[in-house]
Amino acid sequence: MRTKHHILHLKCASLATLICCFTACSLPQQQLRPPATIQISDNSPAVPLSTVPTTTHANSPIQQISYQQPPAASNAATAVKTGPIARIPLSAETGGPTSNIHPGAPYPANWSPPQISQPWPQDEYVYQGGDSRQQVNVAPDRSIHNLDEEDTIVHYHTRDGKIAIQPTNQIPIYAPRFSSVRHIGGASQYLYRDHASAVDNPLKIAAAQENLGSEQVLQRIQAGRNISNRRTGLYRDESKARDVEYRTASLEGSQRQRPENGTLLNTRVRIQNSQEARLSKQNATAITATDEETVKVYVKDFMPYKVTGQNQMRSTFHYEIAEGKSRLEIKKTSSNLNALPGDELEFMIAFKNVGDQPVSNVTIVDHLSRRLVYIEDTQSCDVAGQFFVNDTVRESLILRWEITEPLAVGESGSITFRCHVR
Amino acid sequence: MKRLLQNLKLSPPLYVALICITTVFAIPTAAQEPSSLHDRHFRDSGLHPPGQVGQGFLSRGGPIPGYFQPIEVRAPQGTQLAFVANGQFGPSLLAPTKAGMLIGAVYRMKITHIPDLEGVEVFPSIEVINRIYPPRGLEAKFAIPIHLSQREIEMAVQGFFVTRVIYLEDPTNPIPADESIVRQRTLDIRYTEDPLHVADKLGRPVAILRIGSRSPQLNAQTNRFMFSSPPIQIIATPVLPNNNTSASITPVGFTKATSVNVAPMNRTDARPVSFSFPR
Repeated sequence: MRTKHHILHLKCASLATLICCFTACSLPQQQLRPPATIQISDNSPAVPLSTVPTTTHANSPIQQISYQQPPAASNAATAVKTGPIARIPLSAETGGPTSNIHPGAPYPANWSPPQISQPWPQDEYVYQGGDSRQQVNVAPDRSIHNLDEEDTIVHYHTRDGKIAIQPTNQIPIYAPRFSSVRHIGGASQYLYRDHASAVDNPLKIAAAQENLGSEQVLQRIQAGRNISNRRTGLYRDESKARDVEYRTASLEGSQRQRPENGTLLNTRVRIQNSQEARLSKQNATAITATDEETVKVYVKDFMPYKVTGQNQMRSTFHYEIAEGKSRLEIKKTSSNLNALPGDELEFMIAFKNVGDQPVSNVTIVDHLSRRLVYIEDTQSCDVAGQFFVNDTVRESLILRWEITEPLAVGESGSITFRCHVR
Repeated sequence: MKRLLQNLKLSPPLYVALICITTVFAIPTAAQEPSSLHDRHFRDSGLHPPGQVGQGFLSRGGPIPGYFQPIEVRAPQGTQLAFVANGQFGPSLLAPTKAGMLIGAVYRMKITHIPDLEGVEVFPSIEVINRIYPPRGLEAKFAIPIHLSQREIEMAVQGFFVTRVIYLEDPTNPIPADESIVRQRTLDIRYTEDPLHVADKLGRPVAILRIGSRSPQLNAQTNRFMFSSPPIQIIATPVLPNNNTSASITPVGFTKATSVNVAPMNRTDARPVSFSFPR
């Protein structure tokens, strides 16, 4: 009997554990929290800062709700009917609570998901400057390719005739913009979704099934005797193969032919097979070069790979490649790093020749985002140049400044312009 | 049975633990979803009952539970609105008004003093399903705008049910048009389409506005019409200072442009991304 009760208790405990596991796993986490409560106390015109839950945890119930009444006097009478409501001080600049009070539960500043860098999320920012997506290329005819939206670059000619490209820094501007999708239908029925805030009534066992003991029990009988396992007396003879693979060497010689010309290969210098083809080519080139058809064009530091023609050398060009480096530093700044639709932003692009050579044909190109519209006649540049505005098929604008005079070493310039945020 | 247990030699705690382990491993297997649902962020429909989408989003993690997302409700000039607080409608506020709302909760409003509709009251609801992450201290400035247009209010009075999903635009592919303060840009979809799924393709849905002509049926016990009066924070709307100043944007080592020494602006024709400038 004691064993029956033991089994019954064991079954009850297992069933209860099973029900608890299903209940805990199926309920969302928020539903297990205690319900939020509102405590709007009377005769409390202002809430002390210490009473406001500035460190409210997500799992803790909201103890007090701050409720700011409108300043209009006409609403005061209505407020009396609903009871005095606590106030919180608001910041005059931002419209939100002061630094001591956060409008919601505290969250870490500049929070981002693990292993994702700031700024985050990117769909709330408008970027300006840099060369973010495709790499910008400038052809010798100074045509620009792969200039994406939001890119800002400067390209210039160095003294040795090369075209250098330098992107600016990238400016993240917090400027979220919202839109909406509307669905118009008829209200045929009213639906309401109830969700449990807590579960405090666990299931009870309605009935207990009594398990009677078995009347017949099969007794396990030990083996009366053991059957001995004898080892086999015979072993299979594993003989090795008598036949040996007969490999016949090739009667023909190697197909690799060494170059006939040249004396280097006839010496006892050990040359690897992989080097022979290259040496043969160079050897042939050297023999050709020492022939009557001598080199007609000589370029310093370059070996001729093909010599044709039988004309004698007529003229010699001497090129001097200037030493040093051409380098242009460019920075882009914004008057504000956050903007609402309708705001105006002022951008400044500053550039400076920080190399040891003057640069020429300095051109600054700024492809504005579609969220930004250049305000006409607001640009200014403190160096001589020309300004152009180009439209694109995507209704974004490309601003371009061409500096006419070369930029000497240490010389700088700056450009400012204003944009309207869409 | 007794002999069976004795032969198994399982103690009661070990037996219970075995059941728990089996249950824990069985639940995720049963909860696997079909792969066809992975291409969308929201499995729910925007036409589902209020509260279902937001409650489902709370399980995604992040600093979402307990955060009061500021919302700016804009309405035609002169319209007054009142939020539910502590089981009853609070004082009427003149639109536009900002309020901090919990994510996943549903807030009932009362709209009165509607222009050209004197004496008419509508009771729309707002459900915040996601939040935004403005810089610290600018939460109220960058509130999510929700416009109540005159046309939508009139349609609600006429018996239509308007569901509007507000979403954050994708900045890499924005609509090149100015944002209107009076009217929010709205895309009307067909009756058979789901506004939440359409908004999910265009950007990041953050809130759902529902407007109907349902008259309140107040029940103090269930408090369904008030959606159980979730906590709310009303944020005053001060006059923001003009922060578009050009001061202190000059980087170190540079001087600000002072003289205009360039040629007049020359606007050329439209060009693709790869182009050659005129010489």
